Formats: sequence, C-alpha cells, structure tokens
Amino acid sequence: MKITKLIGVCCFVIAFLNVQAQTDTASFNEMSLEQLLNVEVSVASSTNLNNRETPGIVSVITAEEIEAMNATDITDVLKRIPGMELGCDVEGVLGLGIRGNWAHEGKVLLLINGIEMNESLYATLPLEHNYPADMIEKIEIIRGPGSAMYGGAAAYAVIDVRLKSANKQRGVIANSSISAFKNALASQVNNIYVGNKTSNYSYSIIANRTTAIRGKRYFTDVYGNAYDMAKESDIKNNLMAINLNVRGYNIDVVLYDYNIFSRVGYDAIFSQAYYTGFKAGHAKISKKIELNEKFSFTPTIGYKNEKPWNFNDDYDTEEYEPFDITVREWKSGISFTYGLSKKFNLVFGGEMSNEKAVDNNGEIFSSNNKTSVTNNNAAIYAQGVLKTNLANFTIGCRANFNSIYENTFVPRIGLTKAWEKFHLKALLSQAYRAPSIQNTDANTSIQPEKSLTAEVEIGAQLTNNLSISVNGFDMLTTKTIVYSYDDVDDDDYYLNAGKSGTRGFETELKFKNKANYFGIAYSFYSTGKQSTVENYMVPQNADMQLAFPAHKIYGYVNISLNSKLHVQPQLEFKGPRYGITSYNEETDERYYQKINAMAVCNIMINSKAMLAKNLNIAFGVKNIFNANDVLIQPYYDLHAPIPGKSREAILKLTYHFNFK
Amino acid sequence: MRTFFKYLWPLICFPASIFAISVFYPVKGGEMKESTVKAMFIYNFTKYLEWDKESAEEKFVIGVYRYSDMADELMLNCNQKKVNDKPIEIVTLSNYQAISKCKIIFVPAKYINDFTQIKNIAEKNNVVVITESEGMCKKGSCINIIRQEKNLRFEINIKELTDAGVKIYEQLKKLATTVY
Repeated sequence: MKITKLIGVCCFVIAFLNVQAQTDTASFNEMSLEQLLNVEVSVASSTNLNNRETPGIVSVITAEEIEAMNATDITDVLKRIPGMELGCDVEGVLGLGIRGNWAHEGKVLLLINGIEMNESLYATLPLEHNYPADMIEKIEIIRGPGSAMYGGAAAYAVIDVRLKSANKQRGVIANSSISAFKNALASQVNNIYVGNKTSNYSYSIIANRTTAIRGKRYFTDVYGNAYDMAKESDIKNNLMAINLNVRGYNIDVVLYDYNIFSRVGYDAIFSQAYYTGFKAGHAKISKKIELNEKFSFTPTIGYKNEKPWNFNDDYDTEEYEPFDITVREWKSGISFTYGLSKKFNLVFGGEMSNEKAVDNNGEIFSSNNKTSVTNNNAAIYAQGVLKTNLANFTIGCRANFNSIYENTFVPRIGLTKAWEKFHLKALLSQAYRAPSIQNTDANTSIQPEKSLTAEVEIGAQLTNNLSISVNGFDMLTTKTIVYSYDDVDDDDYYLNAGKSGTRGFETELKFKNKANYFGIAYSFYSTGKQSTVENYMVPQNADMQLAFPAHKIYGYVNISLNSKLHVQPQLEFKGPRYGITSYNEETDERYYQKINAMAVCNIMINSKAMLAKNLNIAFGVKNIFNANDVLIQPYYDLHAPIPGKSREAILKLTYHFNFK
Repeated sequence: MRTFFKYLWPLICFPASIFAISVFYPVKGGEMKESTVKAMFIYNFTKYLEWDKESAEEKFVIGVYRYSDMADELMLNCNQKKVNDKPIEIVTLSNYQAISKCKIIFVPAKYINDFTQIKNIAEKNNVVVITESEGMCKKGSCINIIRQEKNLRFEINIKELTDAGVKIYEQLKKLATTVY
C-alpha cells in the first residue's frame, strides 16, 4: 500500500480513536486523591542505574535540545556526539563512522522505538533526511560496543531513538520547515504527529515527507568529470511510525520509502541521475508480563519486509545495473528480568530469526545457485548487575548460532561507581559484527569479525551547573570484514581482511542554568599503527584512517534573550582528513588528498509562542561562512568525496495543541 | 548446524504461544506508570493545602530537584491546570537557589542525599517538600509518597507542614497512611 494512502486511512483511525480517548483521558486527569490511591502502578526495575552509573559510555539528547539546535534530520543531531562523523558509501549513500572507524556497514545499530533499522542485505544504515529530527523524543547513544545485549549489528555503537509518543505528548504537532541555498531550494520537510493516552490504551502516529537536494556545488569524480548537484542530487523520503499500546500489548510499526538520486554509483559519473531506493515495512509486537514484583518477561515477535539498495531498470539503460531483492524476516524473542533484590538484577533471554532474500529479477545468488537464500539465526544472552557499596559490577555475554557462518560468543564486564561529585566507569567488552546476507553470498567462508574494546570514563560535577567527563578507549577489531568491488566479475566482494581499530579519548564539558546552557565536546583518535587493513589506511599518515578527522570539536551556546526567544550559535571543527580524489586507470594509482582542517558555523534562533500561543518559529543559517566541507568515502574504492552543503537558510514552523 | 536449527526452530513458536496464553491472562486494566500517578498525587495535594503567605508570583510553581522523569510527567499532566486560579508552572531546578520561588519541591529518590540542604531552604520559604523515599517523613519531609504492593500511598508530617507555614485540610490526614 502506498504510504500516502496509508496516511489517509490513519487519519480516519485517529479521528475514531480520539473520540474514544477524550473521555478516558479526562477521567484519569480528573481523578481524586481517593481514586488515585486505588490505581495500580507498574513495577519499575529495582536496579535502575542512572547515566553516571550505567555500564556504557552514553550520550543522551532530548527533544528540547533537538528543538533548540534546529536540527532537520538525525545527522544534524549525531554531529554533536563525540567520535561520530559522516562518511560516504557507494551510490551517494551516507553512513556513520565511530571513533575513526567506518561503522556504516553492520557495526552501528539504529533502533527506532525498539525496531532495528539496519537493512538486512548489507546491514548498512543509510542516513541523511530519512529520520526527521522534529519527531524524536529522545536519543540515547552507546558510544561503544553493545553486542552482548544488542547483537551482531552493535559492534561499535547503538543509537536508540524514541519517537514522540503519548507518554510525553497528548495532542497534535504539525511541523513544517523549508531551507534554501543561494538560488536553490534545499529542503522541505513536513511532519505531523498525533498521540493520546488513556488508562486503557495509548497511540501515537507520525508521518513525514521530505524532499531535498544534497547541495548545489559541483561533484567531481575520480576521473575529473563533474556535474551540478543542484539539478541531480534529490533525496525523497516518506516515513510513517505508529505506536499502539492496548491492554499491555505494545505494537510498533515503521514504514518508509527513501530514495536517493545520484549520478555516481561507484566511480565515474553516469550520463544521468539514477535512484537508489530503500523501502521497508517493520512491525513488532511485545507484551511485558509481570509474574510478581521480582520477575517479569517480555515475548516479542517482529516482521520485516524490505527492498534495500533497490533500483529497477525503469530507465532502459545499461550503465546502471538493476538491483531488486526483497528480504523478509521473522524474528521472535523472549527476555526475562529477575530483580532478586535491590542489589542484584538479572536480564536474560533468547531470540531467533529467519531471513529470506528473493531476487525479483530472477538473478541467482552465487552461494547456492538459486534465486533466493535463507539465513537462520539464534542467540541467547544474559547480563547481571550487582550493586555494592564498593561499586556496581556488570557481567554479560551473548552466544550466537547461525546456519551459515560460525558460532560466536562475546562476553563483557563493567565496573561503575558514582560518588556525590564524581563517577568512574571501567569497561571491557567483546563484540562481533554478524556477516549479512550479501557478505555470506559473496564469500561463503566469511566469518564474523570480532572487536575487543577497553573503555574508562571519569566524570565530575564541578558545580551545580557545570559537569565534565573524559573517556579513553582502545578498540581492536580482528577478521575485519571489508567491502571491495570486483571489476572482473562486476560484483561485490567481501573478505576478512585483518586487524583494524583505533584508540583515543573524548571529553565533554556541559553547563546549564535555568535560562542558558552550553556544551563543548572534543574527540581524538589514532590508529596506534595497529591496523593491517589496507582499505582504511592513509599512506601519508599511519595514525589516521580514511575520511575521518583525528581531531573534532563541537561546541554550542544556548542563550535565552527572554523566556520566549533563544539564540544558539554552533561550531563544528574538523581537523585534517584524507580521501581518494583521483584515480589513474592506466597505472591503477589512487591519489590520496589531504583535506585541510575546516570549521562550520551555524546560528539558530528559536521563538516559543511569540506570535501565537501554540506556535514556535525557528530561523537559522547553517554554514554561515560557506566552508567547503566534504563527505569522504572511508575505504579505498573510487567514489570521490561528495561536496558538503553550502550556506543554507532554514525556517521552521511548529504548531502544537494538547487534547483536553 | 542444520540439525541444531531443526531442533531449535520449534522455539520460535514459544513467544507466539506466550502471546496466545497472555490473551487469557487476567489483565489488570488501569495499570499506570508510577511516575504518572505520582504526578497526579502532587497535583491533588494542592487541593488540600493552604499556603499562609500569598505569593507575588503570577504562577503556582512546582519544582523538581534536578532532572528526573517526574518533571516530564508533571508537565504532561498538570501544565494546563490551575491552583487558586494561578496556572501551574513546572520547573526543573539545577541548584538550591531557585527553591524559594516554588510552592512545592519534589525531591526524586536518586537525589535524596541533598535532602537536608533542600529542606533548610524550603522551610524558610513556605515551600512544601515532597519525597519518594522510604522513611523520609520521619526525617523531615512534609509529604512522602511510598509504594505498597501495587498501589501508591502517602504519609504526611504535620509539624513540618506547619513549620513551612502551610495549613492542612482534615481530609488529607484521613487519606494518609501515616501521620507524623
């Protein structure tokens, strides 16, 4: 069903549900104290740890911060996170690097309302304009390995996004933004949210439509040919997310249709722009069942149907190969929580999945000479947290069993302690990257890559308003799975290449008082010359990896001019980077160019309820000084760097009202 | 490996069976998040309390000491309500100074170590301190919300409320599980 039709159907559902909801919500909000004494409350985890004690290096960004930064999509938010940086994959798709390592392909897990968003064919995570920032309630980011609890796509980081829901917002939000480069429309983003909650059920529905262009500069390929991106770099996205909670059953649905138009696939520019589509429908149902105050369990069933990296030959051309594979995945799991006492909590469970990929063009998979392949996976996991006066101790592990690649076991241990003003974390985690369908199809003997990461964080609450944290990390990945393109067979190729990894540190200083706040983050990495993977190396500088700056600073100051008007200047500084910018076909030589350090400055102005009670208006200019940023491919293939966005003015209107 | 999956595959039906069974599992309608109900408790307390000093503030300020989800819950449930015709304003306090502007200050359990300093300031400024930690009413909290089995209850300390310059209606005393 077309997403637009679905939106129409949902409007009727909303109207119906809302009539029902008005009565129930009103009754809860108007309960007397006597009535409230009879309301039963759900069991909270007895060993909840706050961010200072949680066994992970964690960043949290709230909806208020996202609103103040005037972010358009999730990439604007992630730039603020220490150690995170965007890079460019093939076909103009953008993905994430973590701590100097390319993580886009199977090493960073994105959860939207608990649903895994990484596509199944390559396990990639395309970003830029596909997850609208204004519909996000909160993002929690684990800047480090999360495989023991989250599985084979969480080797380097976990991004847990919670969209706006009826728990926080009972009403309607209509949000629209428009931005422009000089002489060119840059983006139009329209979002609508409707949510409500009663004592018996809650629902929230989010719909987004985005059209954008990637920039208005000229893209130059590795052979020196160029084209104007203003005309042929469109991005179109439709997204819908639904959450329904009825009688304890939690149902989440995420649908999207994301298309990137680009004139470059792997190296040379084409005669025209072609689209690469990512279409997916995800659904998940779960229910937490509490047997008593100590023991609860949550069964989950999920289904996914997707067409990632999709291109069908609508253009009747031979320069761009059709690619049309559908992946269907069933996933089920059960998670148990046992709070033995306020001092000890145990989470354990298991999950199984069945993935089937079918080539809709009748092409055969090389691993089995059929037009479909199947992958079965099972995993069991456990994590215990013991709180003592000395410290909190965490121990966890996951065992993974797969029908194609070898079994994997990853343990983790953590020690955390929070005093009144200080906190300390020491973590040692093993993680794995699970080979995806296309990895195992291209190379049937491929094995999961494994990472060992040591992390230490020290934090201090310097005053009531000022806090600082510093963390060091050392990540070493073995059997690194790398992508390559086989010119002879004209096909993807994957192999376990060797050791890669980085070490470094990240620090964040934050100040907040009632009206104003600021933050500054600095991150540094070095390879420590431990990498043996040629794909990521920079010949001129053995301490760095392709695409990612060793030094990065992000700073912002939020100044309240009065209770309704806020100004936020932002600065993003990137140290020198390296990328492949040209290629000599005759000698098979790549030219690695040093891209100088650069800074992008933005200014955002937000007004709340100045012109009308429920209307917020935001205006801003991104890249005020028109710096020449670039998005570089972080491995040694031949996609030239994509020019970054030039100066861009943005205007955003948000209208909201609450149901009574 | 094929054998492994052959025997493990039936397990995929296990969560499905649990769902099926849970349909018949008695669902206790009306089970709410603890912080949501606590937020409504706090709002309802204002109906049974009378502050001696008439505040010059245009709004009735309820403060939450440092960040906790209680601020969000109060914002969501009480932001459009009024106390004595004054609109409620929910503020998150990052330090002790702003306590004096509040009528009520809620101290989340995780920040209970700062209770003594908060209480000293609150007492001098006609502010009701509400806590959610075991035994806090004995230690000087005006109202303490506690959990008993699946329900929330509250205890009140009349001396502390009187010292803070706040009158208590008799009905509130009757609803409290313990009155100190």
